[in-house]
Amino acid sequence: MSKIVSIHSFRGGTGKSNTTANIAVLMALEGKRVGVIDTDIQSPGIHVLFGMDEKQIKFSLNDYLWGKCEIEEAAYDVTSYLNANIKGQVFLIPASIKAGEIARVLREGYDIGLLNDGFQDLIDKLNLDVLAIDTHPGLNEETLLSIAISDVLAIILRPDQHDYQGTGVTVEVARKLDVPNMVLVVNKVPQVFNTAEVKAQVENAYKCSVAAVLPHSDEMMALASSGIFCLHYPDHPVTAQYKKLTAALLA
Amino acid sequence: MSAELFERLKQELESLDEAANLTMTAVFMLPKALTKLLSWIIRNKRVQLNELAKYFEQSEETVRPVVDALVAKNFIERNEDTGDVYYQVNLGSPKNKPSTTPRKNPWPGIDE
Repeated sequence: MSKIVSIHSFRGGTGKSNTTANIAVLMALEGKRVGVIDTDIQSPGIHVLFGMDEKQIKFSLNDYLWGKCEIEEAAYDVTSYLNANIKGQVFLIPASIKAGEIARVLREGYDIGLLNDGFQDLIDKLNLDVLAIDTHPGLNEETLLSIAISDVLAIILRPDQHDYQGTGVTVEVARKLDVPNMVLVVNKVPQVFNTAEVKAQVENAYKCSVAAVLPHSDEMMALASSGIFCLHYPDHPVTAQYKKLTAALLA
Repeated sequence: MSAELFERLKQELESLDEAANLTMTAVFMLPKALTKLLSWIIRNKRVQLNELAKYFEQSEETVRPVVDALVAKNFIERNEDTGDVYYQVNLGSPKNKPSTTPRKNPWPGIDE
């Protein structure tokens, strides 16, 4: 039985793409066939973490939405790029990084029903165990769709007042859309904070389970999105939290 | 879903206008029970009448008029596949294409 997992946050810069990429790789290490789709069409970027550059992208999610290709033609098997012994497979569906194509989406929009069909077709055609959706921050048509179709929704927040308020909105939306499973992830937590206290406070505030509390990491900053953190630092505390999150999402 | 909630959903549905350009935002803005129902159908891609009856915890006969009303109001569409009837949310079908964004070109001339 395949599963759709959406990674969302109300605000940008919370670490959605890094989290999506890491959980996808951890799932693939367990032998899963995982699709990662970048629905952050306005500001795409997850392809960078997988070592893809613009020249390697013949078709993107944008091309599918404009009827130029089938969704599976915009899916790239990036498993070999990871240089690791991975039992499963990771497929990436990038969004276009071309300024004109981003502008075209902003100007013309697209058929949201086609995006929904694309999610379902990807699962069927690539025989995926998991489809991980890296969303656009905040709320718009595609994030509402991504939240609605999720079997599991992970909402990422930082210990920051702006994030606390915005997360409340997202939790409320997810509850109205009746998402079957929802977890919170607290990211970039200063190391002076007591993680158990942070977890308890957040769970109490939103009445929702916190699946992972990720400490701020200089190693993550230094890696600077040039790779998948859990492969570079398999024994790091951040990786331990990614593993915990992965287990919660697959449960 | 209790009989009382089911009745309320029926009444709410009656009071709604026919959906034109059904978007996710429009789905979200519907009364809570309808939003949940449509989200559930979206999540399942397409559902049959017996599955809807199970969702509502009502008989197929009781549920059928509500399903017909949902179809008539353009919230869901009825499709046939190898003799079976399925219902799915009418989200941005070609005959009813919603816009996701405003019309104006914010960056005229870029890459064009």
